[in-house]
Amino acid sequence: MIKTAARSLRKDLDRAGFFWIVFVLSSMFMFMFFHLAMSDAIGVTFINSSNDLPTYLTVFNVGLCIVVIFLANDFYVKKKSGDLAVILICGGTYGQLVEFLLFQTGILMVLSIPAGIGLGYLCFPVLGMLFKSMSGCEVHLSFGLQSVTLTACVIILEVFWCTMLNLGYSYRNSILTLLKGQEKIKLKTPKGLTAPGVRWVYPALYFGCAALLYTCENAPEQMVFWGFAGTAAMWGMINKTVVPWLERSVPEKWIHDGDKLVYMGLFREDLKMARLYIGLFIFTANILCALMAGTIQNSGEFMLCLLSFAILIPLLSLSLMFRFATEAAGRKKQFITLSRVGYTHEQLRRIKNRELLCLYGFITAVSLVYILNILTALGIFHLIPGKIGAVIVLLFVGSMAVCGVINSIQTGIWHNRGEN
Amino acid sequence: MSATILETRGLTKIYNLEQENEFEALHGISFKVEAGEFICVMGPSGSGKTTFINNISTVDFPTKGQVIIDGVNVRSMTANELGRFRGQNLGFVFQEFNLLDTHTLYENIAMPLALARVKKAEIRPRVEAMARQMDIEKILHKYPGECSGGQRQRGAICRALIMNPKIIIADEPTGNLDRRNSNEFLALIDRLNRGQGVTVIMVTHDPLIASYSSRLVYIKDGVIKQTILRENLTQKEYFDKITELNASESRGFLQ
Repeated sequence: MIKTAARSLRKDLDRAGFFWIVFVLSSMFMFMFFHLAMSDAIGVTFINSSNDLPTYLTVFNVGLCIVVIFLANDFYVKKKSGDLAVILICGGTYGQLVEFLLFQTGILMVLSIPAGIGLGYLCFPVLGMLFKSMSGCEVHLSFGLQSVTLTACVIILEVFWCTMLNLGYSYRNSILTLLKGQEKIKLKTPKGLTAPGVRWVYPALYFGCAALLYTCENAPEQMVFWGFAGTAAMWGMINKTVVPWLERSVPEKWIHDGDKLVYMGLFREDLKMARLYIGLFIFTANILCALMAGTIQNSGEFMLCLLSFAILIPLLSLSLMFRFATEAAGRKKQFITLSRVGYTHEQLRRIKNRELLCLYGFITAVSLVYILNILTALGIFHLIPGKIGAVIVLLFVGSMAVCGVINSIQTGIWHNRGEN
Repeated sequence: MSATILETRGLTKIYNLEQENEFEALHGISFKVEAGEFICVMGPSGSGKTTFINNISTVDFPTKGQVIIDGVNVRSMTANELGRFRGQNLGFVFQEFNLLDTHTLYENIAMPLALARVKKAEIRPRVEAMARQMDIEKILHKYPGECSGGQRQRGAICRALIMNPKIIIADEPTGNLDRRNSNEFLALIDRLNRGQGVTVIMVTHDPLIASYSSRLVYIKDGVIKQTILRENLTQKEYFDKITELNASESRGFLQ
């Protein structure tokens, strides 16, 4: 069984590689975060801890890392459902399935935790320097066993939890469903028309909450609430306003435009498929920005929030990038069909790039509405220097741009190879 | 005398060229199709039917030899020209339907029109008229995943026919359809062939379906082993000949 698992791991190296990178980055982030949080400058203790902001932030960050690992695991295992079905057909027991899955995730985990901790350790001097230059506080970071233990515990628990979930997935599903596990989710026609009133409620709430950020002069921590409300409104806006608008516009407005007809249709699907990611992305960006606003008086806590932002946003971008790459890889047949319909090589390349531009552009735009408003409000209240605001925006836009470019290069390579 | 619409000269297809597992799937096939013909390609599994149809329809390219469609050597065209050529001349129907599951039936059918820059105002009436013929007018707003196999195949046919192509290429188009839908599909193809003079080249393993054609091409081991012309035969006589050809092949394996 271990041999089969090793082969299965080797067979899917790109997915395994992504899973490994997520593990490494999560371990690295948690390691750095725990060190910083438990340093003298911040002073979080996990024994007799008080319910202060760094504790909440720790829970938030660890929770988010767990969700990201879970989503990466989900992609990895969905692809393995065929292998699981074959093992069951051959008379394998559920115990053997655990062995099969645990071996693969275990190998990745064993390879990633030391790498993550090593990378995190290498970043200590940079982190210390950044901390000092931005907050003025001296922070001494030295290798601590407690942080290593905490990081390893979280990851190991996560792997165990994921394996149990994976096993539950194969237990609940019939062999036939497992064999079809790699199939795409079927898209559905929207049921009935959304009432015009409902359609506009969410954008109104979304922009309304952004406007209310400017009322938080005396209590910047309230921005967390408006950030949260804005995220909920954004979720409704995608479901009730943006997707229905695309459902109407593709067959009506863009039906005569060969390129737009395809890439807007694909973008519509991307939005449906990646809703959870988009929600998570915007939620994190909003909450962390709002938290930064609330902790602006305490430079240590502020730096902790900034560090969270600097690592979680690229981590989420990476997840989104992989999500898109997985989708794109599964569209090979669709692009062959398009070329049979008469789309030229050049058109197909253009369609892929425009779809990417729409997806990343949309996520960047809806997130920036909040990030920019929070930063502008803080700037107006003289709570945040422009330099830090620029760093936050650059971090966000930069990580989105890098992931978008990587996706574009990757799809370009597939395209040239004729794979897509 | 009708004009040659498609011709192959010494069509050879070699997979994994100059590698350990090199395999010659088609061995120098020369073949002509006259405009308005309805040709069925049959043969045992692995005989090269799909390779043959892929190579004559620009989906794949021969290792050696030429494919000439409507007087144009397809290898002389750039990738972009080829795309346009397919859109204007060929209509594809496959067993797997090959509709874009990210787009509704309406959007799928309209795609070739959008590519040909047909005016927006003309698109809806044309798609609806075609859908009416295929009896899928009421489900045009649905995604392929929400439709039955027969409905999806009709959607694929609408898309293949919407630009009035010169040649319809079909690879096992009824493979995923029940008998009723298969018959409907055949009746439609027959109508297009006889009524509108559309050339049809179809791969099938079903003698009944093949009996609708005007010529049967039997491929075995990468060469055209036999050709049967329907000419003045009744469909029943033609069907019997096709069945006999298939049966004689199977009989060869009996001890």
